[in-house]
Parts: sequence; C-alpha cells; structure tokens
Amino acid sequence: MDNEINKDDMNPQAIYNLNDDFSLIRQFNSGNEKAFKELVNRHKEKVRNLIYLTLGNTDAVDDISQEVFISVYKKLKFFRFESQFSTWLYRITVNKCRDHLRKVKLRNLFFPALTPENENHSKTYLRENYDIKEIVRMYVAKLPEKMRVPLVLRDFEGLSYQEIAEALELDLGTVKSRIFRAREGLRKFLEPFQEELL
Amino acid sequence: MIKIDKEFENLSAYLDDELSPTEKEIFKERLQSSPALRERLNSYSRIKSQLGGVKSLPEDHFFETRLSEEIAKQTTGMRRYFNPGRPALLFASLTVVLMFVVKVAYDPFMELIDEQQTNIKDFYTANLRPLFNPDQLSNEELFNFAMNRVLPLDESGERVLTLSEGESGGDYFEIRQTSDGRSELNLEEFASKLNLGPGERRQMDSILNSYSDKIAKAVLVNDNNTVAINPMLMHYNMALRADLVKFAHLTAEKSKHITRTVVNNLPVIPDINLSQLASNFDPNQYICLAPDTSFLADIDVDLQNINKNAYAYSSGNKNGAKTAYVGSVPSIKKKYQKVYVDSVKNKKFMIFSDSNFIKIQVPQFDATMMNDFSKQMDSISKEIDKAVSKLKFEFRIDTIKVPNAMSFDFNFNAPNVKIPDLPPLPPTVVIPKFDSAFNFNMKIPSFNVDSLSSFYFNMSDSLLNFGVYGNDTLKLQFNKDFQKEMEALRKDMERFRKDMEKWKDDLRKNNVKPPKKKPVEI
Repeated sequence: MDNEINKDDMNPQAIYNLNDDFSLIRQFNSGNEKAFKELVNRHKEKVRNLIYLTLGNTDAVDDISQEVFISVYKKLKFFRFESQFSTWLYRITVNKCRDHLRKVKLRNLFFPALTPENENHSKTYLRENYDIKEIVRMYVAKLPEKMRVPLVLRDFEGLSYQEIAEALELDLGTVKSRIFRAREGLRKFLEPFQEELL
Repeated sequence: MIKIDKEFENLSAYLDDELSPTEKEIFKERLQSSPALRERLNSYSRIKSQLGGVKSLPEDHFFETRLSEEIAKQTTGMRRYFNPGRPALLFASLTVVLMFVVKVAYDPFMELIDEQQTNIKDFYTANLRPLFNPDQLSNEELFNFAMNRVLPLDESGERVLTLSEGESGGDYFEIRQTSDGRSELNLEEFASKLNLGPGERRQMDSILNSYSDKIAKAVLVNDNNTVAINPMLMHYNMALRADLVKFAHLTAEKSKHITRTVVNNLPVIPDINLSQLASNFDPNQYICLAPDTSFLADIDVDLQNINKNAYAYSSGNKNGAKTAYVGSVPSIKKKYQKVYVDSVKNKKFMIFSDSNFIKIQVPQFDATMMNDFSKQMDSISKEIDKAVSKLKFEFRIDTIKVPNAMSFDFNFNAPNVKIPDLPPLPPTVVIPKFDSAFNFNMKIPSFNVDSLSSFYFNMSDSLLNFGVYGNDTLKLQFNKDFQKEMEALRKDMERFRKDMEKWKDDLRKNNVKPPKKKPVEI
C-alpha cells in the first residue's frame, strides 16, 4: 500500500486484471498488498456515500468506512467469488451501519440529552436554507432504516433488485415492496415541495 | 387497497426497469388507460431524479493513508494472532502452553518446585536451637507443663505454648497470650496437698527432671522468627502427667503422713508407652512455623553439642544466660492452611492463625486412648480439690488433770484456711473452737508433765497436718500463714513444756505425790 500503482507502466492485460475486482482479490490473496489498495480506491467513495445516506449524517462516516475496509482486509481470503465483490462489500457496509445505529439507539436510551433534536423545520425555513436535493436527502434520512437502505442502494448506488436482495439477504419481492414503500413515504414527505421537484 | 398498492408497487418496479418483458408490456397498457397511474409515475420519477442528484461527500484523499496505518497497527507482530482486545484468548493460550510444558517436562518441573521448597525450608530452619536449656528448666515449669499443659515462650511468661483439647476432640498446640483465666495447679500446692516429705519430694523432682531433655528438644527457635515444635511434645505431656499421678498413688501407699483420701480420689491412669506413641510421629520431624509459611522438616537436635549460651530462653529461677527470645508470635500470612504429615496426605496438621495466635491441630492416631486419658488428666486438679474438701479433722491431746495446775491458752490465726466441719468427739475431749476467720482457741486446765511424751496432733487435713517427731520435736508442714501461726503455737508449747518441767522439779523437791493419772481427751 506504500507504492502507487502506475497504470501507465502496465500492459493492457495487466490493466484489465487490475480493473477486475476478482483479479484484484486473487492478487491480494497471493500476497500483493497493492491490489487491496486498488480495491479500496475503486470502492471507497461508494462505501462512504452509502454510509452517509444510510446514517443521514457525516458524524461516523470515516470511522465506519475504515471499519468496513479493515473487515474486508481480514475477510478477503474467505471471499468465495459467488457474487459481485461490490455486493459483498455493500453487505458488510450495511451491517456496520446497522451495528452503529444499534449503538446509537442504545446510547440515546440511556443518554437522551445527547440525542440531537428532531429537525422539524418549517417548509419556508427549508426552502430558504436548503436546495431541493438536500431536502430530499434529509427526508430520506427520516425513512425507517429497512426502507431507506434498499432505496439508497437502488437510486444512489444503482444496484439492481437482485443485487440489493443479495446484499441485504432479502428475497426479491421484499426488496421491490420496500423500495415502493420508501418512495411512497418520500412522496408524502415532499408533497409541499411539488414546485421545487418540477 | 391492497390491489392499488400492488399496482403502485409494480409502477415503482416499472420505473426501475425491474419488470419482466411480459409484465412490462401489460403495465404499459394499464398506464395508457390510467391517468392516476401516470401521475404517480411522474411523481416517483421526479423523486428518483432528485435522489440521483444528491450531492456526494467530498472525496477523502487521506482515506487510504489512515486505513493503511490502522491495518498496520492491527496486524503487526503478535497482534495478527493475538488480539489484545481478547485477553481471554491470550490467557487460555498461555494456560495450554503451561499445561503442555508441565505434562512434557513433569519431572524437571517438580524437581524445580522441590528445589525451591528446599531452599525456603533451609532458610527458615537455619540455626534452629532449643528454646529451653534442659538444665535450667525449673521443676515448677516442668510441673506446669505436665499438669497445666503450659510452656512459657518468653522471659515474662506472657507468651505461652499451650496444649489443649478442641471441641471436636482433637488436640491442639497453641501459641497465645496467657490471659485465659484457667485455674492452674501449683507445684508447691500439689506437693503440699499430697503432704510429701523431703524424700518424696526429691523423688517427684527427679521424675520431672527426667523429662527436661525431651521437652527442651521439642521446641526450637531461631533468628529468622521460626518456631519449630515437635508433635511428640503432646505425648511427653501425657507421659509426665501419668508418671506424676502414679507417683502420688505409690507414695500414698507407703507414707503414713499422706492422706489417703487425696490419692484415692485421683484417677487411675494407664501407663504411657512413649516408644509406642512415637510410632505416630517421627521424633525428628518438627512443625515449623515461619512468618510466611508452615511446613514439616526433619531436624536432628544434639543437646550435647549445643553451647549453653545458645538457648533462647532460660528460667528465671536459676542462674544462666538470659537470651532474648523472639518476642512475638510469628505472623503467618495465611489464615488457614494444612501441613501434610506425609505424601499420602491422609494425616495432616491443620494450622489456624490470626494476628494474635497460632493454633495447630494435631491429627488423631489413637483417638480412644488419647481422649480417655486426656479427660482423666484434665480432671486431676478438680479431683484433688474435691478430695481435700472431704478430709476429716482430728485434734487430740492426751493429758491428765492436775489439781491447781497451771492453765495455758493457745491462740493462732490462719485467716486463709478453711476448716471443714468437725466430727462428733467424746465428751472427755476438749473441743477446740474455730471461728469463721479460723481463730483457734483452746484452753488446757491442767497437765501431767510425763504425758507430754505421748502428746500428738493428728490432723488429717493435708493443709493442717503435722506430726510429732520424737518426744519434743514438732515438725510443721503447712502453708506459710499457717506455719507462722503454728510456729507461734510450737513456741507456746515449748514454753508450756519448760514450765511443766520446772513445776515437776518443784513438786519433787517438796515430795508432793502426784495424783493418779487420768487421761483427758480433747
């Protein structure tokens, strides 16, 4: 991880292998630490944004994303190449986010004073202080976690229903239902902002 | 409602292009005919487009650097295998390794432990020497050991080694303070109660002295604050007691002066065979009490080669080097421990201690015999006291009445002596008068001087008993107060005898015939 990979010095086959997640994993398992860095580079922003949208804030994004990749580093030798690496990575990320949310919930139970106040801002306040995309993100954060995560994976990360089902270990019908319910929830939240949505 | 939701759900999937081609065609037709569905599709589509445009987090350029450091930290050296967050795993691993080492190298491991134990024993048993100089153990101390089961451990006598019987029947050695209030039988008191003559007293002293070597060898001390006690001390105590009581029985049979009632009330004690008892303990094996441990050790004590000045304790009753003894009970850290007699571990000494005392329970080997004997021994003092209280009191003077004879008053006082009730006496006997303070008063109106040769006292009480030796020698054997009073009485009697002699001479000179003898009994 100390040396940068210089793609200019590589032949096309090497670049192809490097671009292939599976190939990078095999290289890492053979002892090539640089391959892991390439994997991190390739997926870190998706992981960070998924954490950000899942949690609804940036407070723990860095810590959780580090935990995710450390976990990947330790478990990569057990990867069975039966699914996309990204699907496996998102599953780890979502589980880490759930662990974090569980801890936050527990902490809030015992230390309610530390819980941030609900942001029940008025429509006027939101219009004046946020653009519509930020307002949408804020309302996404208000969705229940089990509906929020499939929606984020679909509309932010662009995963198919099948990939979402694999990542969250749900059946396809449940994914379809939860994404619909998330959209319905958002639609109701955003009814006052129809003009801005246009 | 469910049907409507299902339609909207399919609408959501249609938007995501997740319907099968057939479903998609059917749904397109539905969409054409339903303005509501079209409106909802527009709504979902607007939301979806907004979601896709939500700002991403700014890229973190140092993410890899921090991640590399964190991974390196967690995977360096042993951390890769032993997570410090899992001490249980580390502990379990070390335990397994240690068990493996012990199993594979058991003998060297045990040898190492034995060697360390031997080193500790050698340190604590170095320069152990007898606490007592056998030549200087006083008869009083030996007697106290025999009857009261107490041995002094320092010059002041405040710290003692006692032998006692536990509530559960076992015997104990105990190092403690002397303030337990037990009634102690005094050697002089014992000899007095048994009414021993000088020869008998010498015999008893020789019995006591015959145990001094054994007792001296049984308690060792050194400068490392170690006290070593030979368990045989328990047997020596029993044997010496038995010898003393047996002596009392034998002496009573021979002597005319010893009151049989005292001895008859003493328990009959079986002979103690020390060599048989010794089979229970190794005579060279000592219980060693050190400041932080207790153990058994084989120690060979040769009294012949010990410097006289090396003894840690010397009796204050005799001249000799007075060496300071370990002034306090060694503080044993363990409150309770077992010291095993042998490797079989079926016999063990139990040691209890706190900051003030140490108690060593001696294993019972012949419980029946020991218990019976111990019970008999403990009651000896009570039996002697009981025997004394039953004594008869007799005071008799054979004399004659002489007309116009001189009269004498005898007065003495022994306030600490209690006199039992007197038996009925013949009317011819003058009854001496005693008041509650034992003020004795007897008036003899007249005497035949010659009758003085048959004058005798026979007071059967051991405290008041005295005899007449020869015609005019009165031997007194009382306690000090009583002796003083009786000495005064003897002087009065002497004066009386001389006056009588003088009076007889006067009578002879005047040729006065003495009247016929008529005994007078008092």
